[in-house]
Amino acid sequence: MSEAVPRPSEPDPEPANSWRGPFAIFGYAVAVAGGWAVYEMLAYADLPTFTVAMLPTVTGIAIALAVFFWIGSRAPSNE
Amino acid sequence: MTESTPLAPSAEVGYLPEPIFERPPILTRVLETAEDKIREPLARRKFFQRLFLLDRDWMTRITMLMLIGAMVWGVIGGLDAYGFQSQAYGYATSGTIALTNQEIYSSITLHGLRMLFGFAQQLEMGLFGLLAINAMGVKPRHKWALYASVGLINASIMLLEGPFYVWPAFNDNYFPALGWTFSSPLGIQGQSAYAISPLWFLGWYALTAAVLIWAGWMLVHFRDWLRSRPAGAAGRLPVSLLFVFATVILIPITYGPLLVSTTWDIGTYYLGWGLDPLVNQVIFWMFGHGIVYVLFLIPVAALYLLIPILSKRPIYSYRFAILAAVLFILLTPLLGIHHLFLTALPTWATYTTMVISFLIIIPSAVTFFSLWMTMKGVRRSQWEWNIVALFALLAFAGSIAGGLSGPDVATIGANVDLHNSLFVLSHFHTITILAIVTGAYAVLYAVFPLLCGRLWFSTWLARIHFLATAIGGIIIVVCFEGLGTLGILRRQILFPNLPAVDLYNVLLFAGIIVILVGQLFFVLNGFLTAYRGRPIVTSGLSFDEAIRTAARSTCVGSTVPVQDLPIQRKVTRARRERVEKLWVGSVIVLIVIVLAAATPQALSVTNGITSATNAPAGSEYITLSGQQYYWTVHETGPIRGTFDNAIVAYAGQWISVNATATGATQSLYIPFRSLPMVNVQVVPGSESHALFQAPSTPGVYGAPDGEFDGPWFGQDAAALIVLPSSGASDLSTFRAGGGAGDIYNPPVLTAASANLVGDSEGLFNHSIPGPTLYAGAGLVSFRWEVPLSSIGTNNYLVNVTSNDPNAQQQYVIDHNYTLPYPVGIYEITATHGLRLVTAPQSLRIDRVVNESLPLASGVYLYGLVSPVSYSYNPDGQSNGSTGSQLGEVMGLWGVLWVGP
Repeated sequence: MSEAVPRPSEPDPEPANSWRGPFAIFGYAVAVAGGWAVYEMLAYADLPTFTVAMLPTVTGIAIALAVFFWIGSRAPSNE
Repeated sequence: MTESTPLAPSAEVGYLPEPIFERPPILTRVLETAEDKIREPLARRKFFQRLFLLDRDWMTRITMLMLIGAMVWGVIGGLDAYGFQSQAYGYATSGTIALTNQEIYSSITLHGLRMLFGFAQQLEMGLFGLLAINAMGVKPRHKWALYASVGLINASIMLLEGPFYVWPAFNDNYFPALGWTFSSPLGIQGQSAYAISPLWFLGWYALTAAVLIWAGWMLVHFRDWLRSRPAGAAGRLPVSLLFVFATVILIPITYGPLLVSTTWDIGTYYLGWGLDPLVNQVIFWMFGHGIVYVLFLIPVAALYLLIPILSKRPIYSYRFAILAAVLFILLTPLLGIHHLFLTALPTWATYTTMVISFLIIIPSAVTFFSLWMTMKGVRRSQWEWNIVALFALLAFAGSIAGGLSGPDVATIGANVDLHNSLFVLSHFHTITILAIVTGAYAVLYAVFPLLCGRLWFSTWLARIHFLATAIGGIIIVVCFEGLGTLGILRRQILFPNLPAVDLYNVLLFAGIIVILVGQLFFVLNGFLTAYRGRPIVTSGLSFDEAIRTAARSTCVGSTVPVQDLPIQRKVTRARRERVEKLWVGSVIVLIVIVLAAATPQALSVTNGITSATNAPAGSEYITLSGQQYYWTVHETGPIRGTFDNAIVAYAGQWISVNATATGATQSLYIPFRSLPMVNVQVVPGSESHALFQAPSTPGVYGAPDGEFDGPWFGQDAAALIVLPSSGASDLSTFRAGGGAGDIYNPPVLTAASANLVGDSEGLFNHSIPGPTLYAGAGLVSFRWEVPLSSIGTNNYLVNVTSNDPNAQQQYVIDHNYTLPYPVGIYEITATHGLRLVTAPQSLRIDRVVNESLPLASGVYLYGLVSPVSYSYNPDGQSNGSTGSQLGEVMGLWGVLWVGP
């Protein structure tokens, strides 16, 4: 599919990535979903085996979420 | 500009007759004639014509048939869940269960089968076929192959249900029902106490044939598309179709192992082949987990289709989408063993599977990052929050929430705490409800108007449907998680009646009702749309524009234009792919670090199960032999003796277990919360080991069987009896400490005031084992009774030989209210196992028994301390074609603890 059609030149007052745009809303959804996944495991934190067995995984998940948002927020738009 | 293709003509042109280049085979002509004879008179009635699209081309008609079939099974499968949870609700609120054990056992199995295959698999076939044919622009062929696939998949669900009685007697339509997860040797005559009907195996064959025919049909059209392109022409499949064809490739890879394990089971059942249950289960689980990814590609393909269309932008990186599709195909077949982490499989197999289970995070990570980035730069004013977008949002979030809980169970060390608990249900219902179902609905809301040629009838019905699905789904997931953290086993109806457990079960029931009622709004809206919706006008529109037009009919007052938005790329592909590479590289680094950190514990767990670890001096050596519904326990060490369903050790003593099983997989499950849990799977034909330390607090700890191995699963619970290492204990420390948090500990009652009453499940006071009775040394008294009213279908004490629901009680009456099972009080001795301290007597029904005798400090067992042989065969219905139920069950027993 051709991607070389010129854009209209009128000014666009709306910011490209408003905090209420779809990118932001889906980002909030990731935060909620990821937060729930981390919470699920923290709910097992009182089990003796948690620290040894689960900590690497839940820490990895938390870091991955942070990296996801960090890269996504700094990446160029899909334009 | 998104990747759009001209709208295929079938939605507008109407019925297109097959061009006849040559005379079709006679079978085809007969089928065509038969179809016309059925279709034409029905098409003259508006109801059938609109609902089944009888005036449209055959591809549209068959797709509609599949969607309707899927919704029918979805509703029925949902009612199965309602049926099970209604019993849990009754048990939680009033301690009563109305259905039989067989019906309860089957309702869970049927729920899973109907939802996964009748609903989701059929829906996937219908939607993916429609999308593929339209996107490739090829003419659909081989109508009767597609019809055969549809017929077979729907017939398979009927066959899997087992024998169906047109005129049901009191307990039949679920007789003898089925076994889920196909865990060999469960269900095989001569191998298991619970044998199933051969219709079960035929059902799996029919299902496999259905999906393989469909996959072949799809490949034929893909070949047509390849051949139709001019030589050297550029062009590529739309990104969503990459995942449609990933599904097509995965289907034979996934269903092939099912064919192998099914055939092996049939050979064992009917031809006397040898069986290695563990190998058979490994083969089965290649299907068992593969199918989840086959179905997970529904929301993946849906989001790859819809997010670019709704954003009016192409996917962030097409090449990384290819990477994701390829990785899904390569890694999916290798995950099955993560359902068998706690068996005696070699460590290299379980550890490798853990690694692969983490590697499959990569394609999911690529997918959801790419999809999120696709929307970056989309203005709020350009995005329409119609129902398609809302379901896409929910599917996106659900996929992430469910996907991120997967690594938890994939971590072997953590699997000890999670396997067979309701946490697993939380994980996969997040995926099934909040990802697969919502992703399917996103596509359905987008394409249904194109299929039937009419815009959605009601935005309000759509909104209520969305809200009910979201709220009900979230309630279900949260309740399963809550129950899982408490240690509650999956599929269990005889759960401990504790306030938190009861509350979660009540809320879970409410969540199921909310989501089921919500689906009625969708069904109603779909019917009204097909019957009375305004015609959709798609002439001159691209495919993407048509989708937006359809989606807009679920949104009131939108100002977002449906037209495609020409866009000039400002960010080069190389720059976008650098971002993707940075993300994927980060994920890989994290996976390597997490795996490295989790490896020592993983190896420790698996090595400890596959081979006996050197036990410290003074350990108790226990040989556990699983008998499907109970354990025989043979002990040597400081305590010597043989017990049924009782493991005896001193406080703080190390316990070395060597476990085998017959009839079905069992598991030793002791869900401590303040001590390391014990969770070991025992597959027949293999030896599993465990080494753990008994709690330092004397008491009686519950140890239910974690494996769902037949209708008497609920009564299958042992006790870990921890004796004081010296002197006597008054259980005060045990009670104050909450019994190490094991939710299955039987309650402690003062013997003198305890009133033990047998219930309809053959248990004392809904407790398995029965309540622990405490008394001081000296004259010990307690009373118990087994009322005649407790004798019924769910009570193993009397065989079921008749369809007359009163027959069991009549048997008791005819035998002078006496059953030939020895009851008594037995002392646990350190050197000779159990020693009878009362005169042996047969079990009296409907008679209050007051026990009163002098006892020294010590620990005793009361009641029926050996299993009862049971058989279920109403009016001879149990046979080779219907299956059979036997078993040895014990429930009317407990511990009498005599303190200082």
